[in-house]
Amino acid sequence: MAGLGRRGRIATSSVLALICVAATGSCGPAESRSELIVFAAASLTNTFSDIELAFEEVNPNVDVLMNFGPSSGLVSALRDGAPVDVIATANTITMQSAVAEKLVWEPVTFAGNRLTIAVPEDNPAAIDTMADLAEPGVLVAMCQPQVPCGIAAAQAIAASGLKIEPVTFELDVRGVLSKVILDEVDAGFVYATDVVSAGSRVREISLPVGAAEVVNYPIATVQGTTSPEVAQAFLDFVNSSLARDLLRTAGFTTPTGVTT
Amino acid sequence: MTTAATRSPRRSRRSKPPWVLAIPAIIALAFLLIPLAGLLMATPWTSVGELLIDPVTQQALRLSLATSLLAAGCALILGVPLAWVLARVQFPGRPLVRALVLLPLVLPPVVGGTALLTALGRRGIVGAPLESLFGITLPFTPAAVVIAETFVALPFLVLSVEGALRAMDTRYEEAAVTLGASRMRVFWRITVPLMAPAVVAGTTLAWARALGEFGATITFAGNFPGRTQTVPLAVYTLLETNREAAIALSVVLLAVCVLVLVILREQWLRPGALRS
Repeated sequence: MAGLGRRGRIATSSVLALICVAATGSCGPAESRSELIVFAAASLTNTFSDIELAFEEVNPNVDVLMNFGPSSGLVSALRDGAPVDVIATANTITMQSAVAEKLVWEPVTFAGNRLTIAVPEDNPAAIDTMADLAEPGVLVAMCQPQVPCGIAAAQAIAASGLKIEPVTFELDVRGVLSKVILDEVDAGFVYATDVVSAGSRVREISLPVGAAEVVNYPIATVQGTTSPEVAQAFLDFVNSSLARDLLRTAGFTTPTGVTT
Repeated sequence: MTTAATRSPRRSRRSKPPWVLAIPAIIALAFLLIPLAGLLMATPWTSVGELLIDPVTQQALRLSLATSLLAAGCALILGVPLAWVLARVQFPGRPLVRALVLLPLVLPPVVGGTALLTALGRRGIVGAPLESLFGITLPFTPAAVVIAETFVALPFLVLSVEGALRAMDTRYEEAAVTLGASRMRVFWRITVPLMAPAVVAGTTLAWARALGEFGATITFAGNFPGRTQTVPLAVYTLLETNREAAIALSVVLLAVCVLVLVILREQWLRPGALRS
């Protein structure tokens, strides 16, 4: 009971160090680098990873940590007190709920996207138009109904008047895309940008004119962020011409509205 | 002096634990119990009944019950023979086979689901011939849920039964053989009754694991209410839309798990139960 021996102390400190590393990803002597935690919609995965690298190049003392997922899940995590500085969602409704609950400051729309249909490279069910998805035996994937891609897909299906019965409601749009890439479904409702990111592994079947739901991507600083300046710098960067180019290359459109 | 010396082992076990052990032990206990307390405190007790008769939760409960029981049944039918082979048959590479059998215990379930998709998906090494020859596609069907659950649950049963078989006194079986009993007769009349407690415990554990399955299910079977959306998937989906229903469903799963532990207490959780 007479305190810990040398060995015990070493063991304790190494355990503490391990906890430290596990909890924050880094420890050791105080660093001047600051962290910025960004929550972004699943459909932004590739582009925001590029934007992260570009931002860190300009701001070498900032370490941006990205977390991608379904927009509704991100807002829900924010509501539960997740440590977040900036959040970007794939539609304005989800962001507005966060605004209404005073979780975030006024958002800025920085990009737009378009709902479309992706089929596997070899198009096993010979899908030519959206109407083919209503054929019996055609396996269709879409997002779960509360996430932006699910809302958009449900609207597109309702507007078409077709009886399209999906076989799975994936948690986010990346889940739909991977089911299409793996060739496990015949078609999936995804965004135009997902078709670009999948390259030759999928083919796009455009929705009929008028049925193509358009979504806008707002980004906002989280109320109660510990680093509002860095958060604002990131927001400005996302609206810079450099980031706009990255977004355009990925297939995003320039938003039509101003601030939403 | 003599009395103290004879009593000392007992007394040291009873004496106050040193603080270096007591404090982490209390933290560990709090760490395990506080989340459960949080869940119970967040439960809307007055409307639990209402939430549980909602069609979405009803479908999920029914599907989970059916698929997990089927998965436990599959684990029982396939797992007992496998455990017997691993415990009683000498063959080269047995330690490796045993390690591979237990792999799903430590494998992240999402990885398991991906593996199932690459094997049994419609472009998989087994799934593709299955579709072209018999027109059977497994992903996105309740059958896929049962397969995913069996995949993660089977090792629990094998582990439990194999341990019991290896610890079993083989003299009863040997005596039966010398008395002229056939190998099947020995298995059914001696081995099965002796390993029955371990089989019950293993099947129950496998069932509980199947009931809680999430990662392999969503990856391999997808998420469709009434068809492949089991209770854990429904909890995850409802957490964003109807938090109260998600919590009510979580409490149901918690109650089932407590029940399983109570049932197993005598069979499995008693220290040294496996060795007896």
